[in-house]
Amino acid sequence: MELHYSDRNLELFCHVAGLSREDQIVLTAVRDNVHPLIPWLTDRFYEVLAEEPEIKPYIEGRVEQLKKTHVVWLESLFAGDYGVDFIKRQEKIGETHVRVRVPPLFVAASMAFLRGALPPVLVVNVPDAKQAMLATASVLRLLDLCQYLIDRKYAEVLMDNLGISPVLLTRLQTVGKGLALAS
Amino acid sequence: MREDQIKTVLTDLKGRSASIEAAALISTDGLILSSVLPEMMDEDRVSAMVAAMLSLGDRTAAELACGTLEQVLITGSHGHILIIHAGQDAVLCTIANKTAKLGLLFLDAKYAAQAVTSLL
Repeated sequence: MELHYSDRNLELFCHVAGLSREDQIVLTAVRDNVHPLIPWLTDRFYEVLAEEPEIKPYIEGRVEQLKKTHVVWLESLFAGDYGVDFIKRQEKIGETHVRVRVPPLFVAASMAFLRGALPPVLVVNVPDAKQAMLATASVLRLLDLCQYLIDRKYAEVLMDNLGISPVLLTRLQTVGKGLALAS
Repeated sequence: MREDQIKTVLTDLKGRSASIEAAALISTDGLILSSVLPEMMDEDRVSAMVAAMLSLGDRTAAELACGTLEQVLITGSHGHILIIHAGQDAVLCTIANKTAKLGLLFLDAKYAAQAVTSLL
């Protein structure tokens, strides 16, 4: 995996998650098995979204465009390049979500859908069982990375809009709740 | 030396009126630089909240086309919290009780902010 990560948090994430160059190899190897099923997976995903009254307003009238974007994004999970451009694309999603007011709940729910839907797709469509198992682990790790990157950027943009610097945010987090009166 | 001078400015500010109960100089990142706070007040909490409030005030003034922020005044049932810039990177917070005359409070805090700015 092309880990051009110059930030300590991402290094930590990859280390703890076990995300490595091996995952790049594993996911690229199953790309051809998964690609034909991605449009089906996207269709299923948007069917589920459309059932939710709270999500419906966000997708109504532009489902086809959103599906195309989703297919491209899903394909990128198996493209084997998870370097700077990949990271920037996830961050762009986070930025866009702030702008169009898509809450982190939707990202978490969407990722949970994929964590549930992708493993069976791999098990059924990758002939080698061991390879399917390895690919499942890799794609789950990658989904977690995507969610982290999207949510992190979302929080950064939101705080920047409020004028709260990362240092100040850390201080606010550590002061906790309650009065400014010492307990 | 400089720390002592800043502390003196804050102590003088607090001494200007019986209604002024506390004062603190805080970095815009929420780090306490100097303070004359009652013991019961948690410096870290005061500094983080004040810096956040000033940041929001800055953004609000800009968004609502009010120009450059001059001050943020929070008034509660027991008193006032006045927050003003002290140079580019610091914030002066003055806490006064309900008996404070706001005009005098603004003036005293403004002079104190100018004084500490020259020391930063």
